[in-house]
Amino acid sequence: MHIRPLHVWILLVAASLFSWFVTEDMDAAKWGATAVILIAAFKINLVIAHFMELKWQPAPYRIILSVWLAIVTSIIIGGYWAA
Amino acid sequence: MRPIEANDTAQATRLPGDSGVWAFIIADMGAFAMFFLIFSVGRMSAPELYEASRQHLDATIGLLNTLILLTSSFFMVRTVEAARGGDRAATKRNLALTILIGLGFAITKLLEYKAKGEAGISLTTNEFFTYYFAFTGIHFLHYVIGIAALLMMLVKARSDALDDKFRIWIESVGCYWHMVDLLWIMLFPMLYLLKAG
Repeated sequence: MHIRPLHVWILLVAASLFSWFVTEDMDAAKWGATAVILIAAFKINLVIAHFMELKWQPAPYRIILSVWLAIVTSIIIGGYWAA
Repeated sequence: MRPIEANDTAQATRLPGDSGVWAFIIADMGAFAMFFLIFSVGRMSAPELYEASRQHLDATIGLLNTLILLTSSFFMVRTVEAARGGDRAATKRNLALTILIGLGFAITKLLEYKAKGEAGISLTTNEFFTYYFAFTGIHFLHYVIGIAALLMMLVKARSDALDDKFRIWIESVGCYWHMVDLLWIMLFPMLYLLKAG
């Protein structure tokens, strides 16, 4: 599905503002922090797919960047919960 | 949803930009993955220190920087679209907006560093701030290289033919610029927003 760049940008800004409110107002800090990292991963996936245009690439670049994102997200969330 | 266009078919089979630039982007992202790992391991051994230090960061500026880079990236997408369509005026206009909005990041980042300096916080204050200055500093260096590349493209867009060669150049610089944005998207919450539970 092709999403217009303007709609992707609106989604990215909305996700940024939402994650801001999650950290500011959420009492359950651990879940709030986890949500914020997951939202960042969602935003990065949008940038990779729609701004870098890797959505249309079958392999290997999209796969490499997706694996990178999964590893980085796991490291940060895993390290946070283990602390 | 708009109908499928010929451009979509071209995108299905072609990597945007130069494959050498992509090799650089992937290697660079690998380096930042190591930074994220180093920070996470450090945080595991001293969560109280990291939380106390984090509270000295201005998350509002961090959010502003995120919005600046996202918006600059959006105009970069429009620049590439205009270049593909052979529209020189739109290419130059969108590229200028990409740079102008992007420059906001330098202003806020330098103000932030200045405020840290005035508060007596430096690279040697503690482990958290060593990582904070090192990672945001290396990211800032990438940003400066990106701005320089965008300025070079603005010069090229004034006189060069908007041919395949130019298209590969603008796509390559565009993907690099999106990487600068992408890395900040994760650096910002990791440094500024990981509130201890």
